[in-house]
This record gives sequence, C-alpha cells and structure tokens, in this order.
Amino acid sequence: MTKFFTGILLVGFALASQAGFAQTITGQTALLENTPKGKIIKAWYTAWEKNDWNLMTQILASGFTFSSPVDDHIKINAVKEKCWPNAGKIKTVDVQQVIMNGDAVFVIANGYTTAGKFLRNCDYFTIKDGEIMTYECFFGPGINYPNNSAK
Amino acid sequence: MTKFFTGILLVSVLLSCKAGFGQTVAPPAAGPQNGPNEKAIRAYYTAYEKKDWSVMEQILADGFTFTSPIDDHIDLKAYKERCWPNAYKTKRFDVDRLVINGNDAFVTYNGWTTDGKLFRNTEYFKMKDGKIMSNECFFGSGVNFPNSGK
Repeated sequence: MTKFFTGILLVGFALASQAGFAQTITGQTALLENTPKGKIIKAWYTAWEKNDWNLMTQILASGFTFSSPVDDHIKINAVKEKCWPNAGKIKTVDVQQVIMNGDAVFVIANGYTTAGKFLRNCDYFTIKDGEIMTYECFFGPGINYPNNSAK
Repeated sequence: MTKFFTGILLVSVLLSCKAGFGQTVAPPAAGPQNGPNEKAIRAYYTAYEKKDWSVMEQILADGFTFTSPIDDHIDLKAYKERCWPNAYKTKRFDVDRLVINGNDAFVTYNGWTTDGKLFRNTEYFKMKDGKIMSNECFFGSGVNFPNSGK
C-alpha cells in the first residue's frame, strides 16, 4: 500500500507541477493582456510555454512559494527541480475565467496533455509589488485527481 | 485494490460535499463587495452553519448545480442527499479569500472537520439575479485530496 501511495504521489507531483504549462493559450485572455497584474500572470504562463526560466525568475517575488494538494509551499529551487522539467507536456490551456481583486488573481483553465488527457484547475495567485508572491493550484476534474484518471 | 479505490471515493464524496459547510463563518476577507451576490454567497455558508435548508432553497437559483472533481453537475436533489448531511461533520469554516466580479465569484477557505482535519478548497460561484446558479469546488490540500498527507 505504501508503494501504491508513493506511486500516486509521484504522479501527483508531476501533474501538479505541470499547472499552467502550455504550447498554446486560448480563451478569456483579454484581462491577462490588458492589465498590469494580468500581464504578470500571462508572463507566468508564457514562461512555462516557452520554457523560459529567465522570464520566470523576473516575475517571482523573493520568498515565492508554490502550493497544490501535493506541494506544500515549496520554494523556487524545488519548483525548478520538481516542476520545470515538465514544461511542454501540456499541449493547450484554455482560460475559462479570470477575476482580480486587490493582490489576488484567480484563473480557471482547462488543459489537455500532449497525450490527450483532460485537466481543469483553478490557479490562485497573490501579487506583491508587481511580482508573484504565491501560487496555489486547486484541482478540478481530470487527471490531477486520482480517481478521475480515466478522463 | 478496487476496494481501496472505492474507499477513497466514498471518503472523497463525503468530504467534497462538505465544501462550504461549517459551524462558524469568518468575517469578510476581501474588500467592499457587499452586494446581493456576496450576501447570497455568505448566506450559503450560514445556511450550513445553522443547518437551515429553507435558507439554502431561497438562495439557490432554479437549475442549480454542484460540481467537484467527483460530482459532475449534480442537481439540487442529489446535492441535498449527498452533501447536506455532511454539515454535521464540519467543525469550523474560515473564509481565506472572497472575490467577486459581476456574477462570478471565487471563495477560498480553510475548513476543519470535527476531528480536527483540514480541508482547503476554492469554490467558483456563478450567480443569476442575486441567487447561486452553480458552485464548482476545486480541491486544495487536506483531507479532500487523498494523497496530500494531511
């Protein structure tokens, strides 16, 4: 059983870390392109899309943390180590919803992997002084949730 | 293994349906957004706090659906059957963030079960005429997600 859990955990890390990685970004992107905070968030997705770590380091605040159901406030070194190698495994991201308020930005996006698997996440960013202070990924239906692996 | 998966699924169904159910509701975490939509959303949580289904019926729009990673647009009847009883298993509910734009809203909260386990979710509400048209729950860390280790 431990081995089974570990297996799921590893898959979870890989998938969580893929959040926002895409070769194409479509949908409700206007807010991401036409506001200062939106541009920072767009740069986040673009950095993943273009595998541009230099761009990523420019938009992350000192003390940045990355969270998901299987990543508990990991720091930038762990993000680069665990997550960055997964860039390019998500084929498309379709932005469904964006709301900004104060330092918070929420994004819902549907994605498909290069293998054609579906995922839908809610990404919650906080912004501080023009940089991303925190990123937290909440899982919707699709491959990120263990019992939805058939989707 | 099948039995194990079934076990996880059942636990998950119970936990997912608890989204927003609490005995206490934290004060507003976001700015001046006190319109009818925020009132309905906060009443949604208060309804669970007070276990008052009649309040819930007043704030849910016709055709309301609830969705989570393991609930695919279930209707009001299924929602009442599967989710409502879980109110009694939630000890506390703290709103971490509430943002509204027109008829769309996000709420991130930390919930605590009666045995002290955390569940942290984000819920996406769609509103219509001051009522809740849909709630989509996304799972964060905690007991909703089987392998989060919490």
